[in-house]
Amino acid sequence: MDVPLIKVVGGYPFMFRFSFLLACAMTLTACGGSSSNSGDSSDSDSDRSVELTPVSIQFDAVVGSEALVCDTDYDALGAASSSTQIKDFRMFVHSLELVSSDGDVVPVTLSESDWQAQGVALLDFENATGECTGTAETNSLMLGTIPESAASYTGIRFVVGVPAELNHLEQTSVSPFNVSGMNWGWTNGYKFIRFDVVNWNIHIGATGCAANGSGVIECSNANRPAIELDNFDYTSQQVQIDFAALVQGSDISTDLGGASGCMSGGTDPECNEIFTQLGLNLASGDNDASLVQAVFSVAD
Amino acid sequence: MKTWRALCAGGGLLCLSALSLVGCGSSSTSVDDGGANDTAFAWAIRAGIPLPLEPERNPMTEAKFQLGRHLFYDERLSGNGTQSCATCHHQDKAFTDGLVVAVGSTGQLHPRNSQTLTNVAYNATLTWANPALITLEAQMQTPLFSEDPIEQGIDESNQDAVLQRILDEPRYEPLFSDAFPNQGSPVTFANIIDAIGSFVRGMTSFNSAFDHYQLGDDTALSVSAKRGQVLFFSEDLECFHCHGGYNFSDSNVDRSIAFVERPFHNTGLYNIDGTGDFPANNQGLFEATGDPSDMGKFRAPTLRNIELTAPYMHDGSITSLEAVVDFYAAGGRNIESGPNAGDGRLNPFKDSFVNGFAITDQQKADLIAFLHSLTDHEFVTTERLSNPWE
Repeated sequence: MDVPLIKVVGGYPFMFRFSFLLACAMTLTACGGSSSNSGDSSDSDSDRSVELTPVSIQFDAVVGSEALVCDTDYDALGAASSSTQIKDFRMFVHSLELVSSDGDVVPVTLSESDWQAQGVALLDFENATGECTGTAETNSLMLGTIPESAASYTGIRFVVGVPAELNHLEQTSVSPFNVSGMNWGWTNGYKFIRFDVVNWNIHIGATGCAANGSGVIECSNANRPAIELDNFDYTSQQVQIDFAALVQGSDISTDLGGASGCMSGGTDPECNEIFTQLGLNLASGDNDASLVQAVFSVAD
Repeated sequence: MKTWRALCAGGGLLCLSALSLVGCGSSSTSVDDGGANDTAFAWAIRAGIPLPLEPERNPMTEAKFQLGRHLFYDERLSGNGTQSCATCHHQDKAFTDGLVVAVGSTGQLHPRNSQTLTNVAYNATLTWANPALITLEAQMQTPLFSEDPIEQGIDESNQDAVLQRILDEPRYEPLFSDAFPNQGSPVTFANIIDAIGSFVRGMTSFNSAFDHYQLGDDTALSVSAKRGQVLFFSEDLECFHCHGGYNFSDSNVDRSIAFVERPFHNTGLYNIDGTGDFPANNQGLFEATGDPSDMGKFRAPTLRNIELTAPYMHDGSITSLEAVVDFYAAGGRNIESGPNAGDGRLNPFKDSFVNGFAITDQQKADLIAFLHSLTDHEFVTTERLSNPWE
């Protein structure tokens, strides 16, 4: 052996395993076709010769009744009826599922692209113009497949964020996990939601993160909104994300303490209203059945 | 034990391709020392000190170390081209900067004091108070990309230009291809981070007078330093509880350690209004966990090279070693007026080993003589860790 092999006592099994898979998927042709897909369906797909139906989910970002775009003034936002401009509007989404009229839940296997990897998609509505300083490229689609079936799909479910097992990868060369603006270094993870306006930022991500004895990062507050929308026809309708609804109860012209805006801190005085609108309990970081999320809805 | 073979067995088809890349051969499990000495890197660490961990994904190589050395000292690795890692980590100060708090590339003040990189490979957690950062590669995201405060200030508007600056420097081409062979275009932030991580991981310091004494040279310590050593390890002063072990820190991990602790301590620096509070935006472990009892808790830094790393504490608020000893002798700090007023000695979250002690002037001089014996003069002068661009 030219390269002695290194073992790490109390190492980083999850980080290693995923970066290993990603390295294979990205750099080696020998890794084989679709094997890097997150689902365990790739083998069975071929074995059973199941036909796949393409699924394309369109997301629309709006500010109340207006389309959300950079370099545009929006008025009458939030509790203090403020005017502002968008600086950033990106979020990760995973666990995309369709719900049939019979109540069956069918996972959508996401395709692999610069916007989608390992079952996670990055939605990006900012184009680096005006106050926006992120990337010029945008993405409002989640693309994937479901097994062909005669079912009629009438609902959609998804979870906002990067799943726990992928959230603490070291920086890799794999898009979209290497989009630096979504990196959240202090938690060794990602911003799940990055909705920034001038001088007021919303960064939602898992918090209370610490390495356990075997080096796995675990977070006490998951902070991943689980969204379920009924009466949704994926072939003709869109998922709407309304920034005005998100900040409806927040004064986005004032920093009440801590970071300006909500950075997911349990003691940040600006987080309660934001979390409530997302259906999250700020104290626990869990989805709260007693709260009704107000940000995501079905649009024609 | 997570070995390559174990992972490969589970990896199936994927691992076949890994054989040619990193080697998945049977020899990986033939060593019988648990891999404790399995390394491609010449660590050159003295007898009696275990080797530090190497991440399985980024094992140490001399080529990565040398590339990392060039990058560590390169101001092109910042958004505005004015700041390198070395801006805040000067070799002659044991890789600190002598400032109260660090200053970022755009002039923004960091709330914290720049930490020594002495033996940073042995830290159970990185930075002053973050239980989620356990690899240098993960930690490095923050100085490179942090937005608040801005440190090196690389962001999406300038990251392509930063990489282009690296590509434009001819000295990098062989360094990158040696460090990351068989990659088409190896100038990526992932590789930059792995290389700097390797360089910093190689900043080991075990060549102080104290080390020579440990190895049997009885003349290496002065009589005063020997008296100071006794005081340091005494139950009266309790220094060693948090600053114990071969690296003089209880936040310590190496290849021999099966059960890792990642401790943090409140030493009674503040107690604003008697509530236990620390100044806003500098509240230690609490900022990461949200647990009220974690207020003001920070990682105990190594005391190796402590002579060279003033000012002290997470916020640089104590200027000299003498004042630090006085602070611990008092069992904390009583701030009588101003916005941070409060008696830190009574902080409800203070570590139970910070109880104060009586100490004479001679004993204080002895204790500091011992601390000075932890200075590794080779570490702060060796060309191997110096600026390769000069």
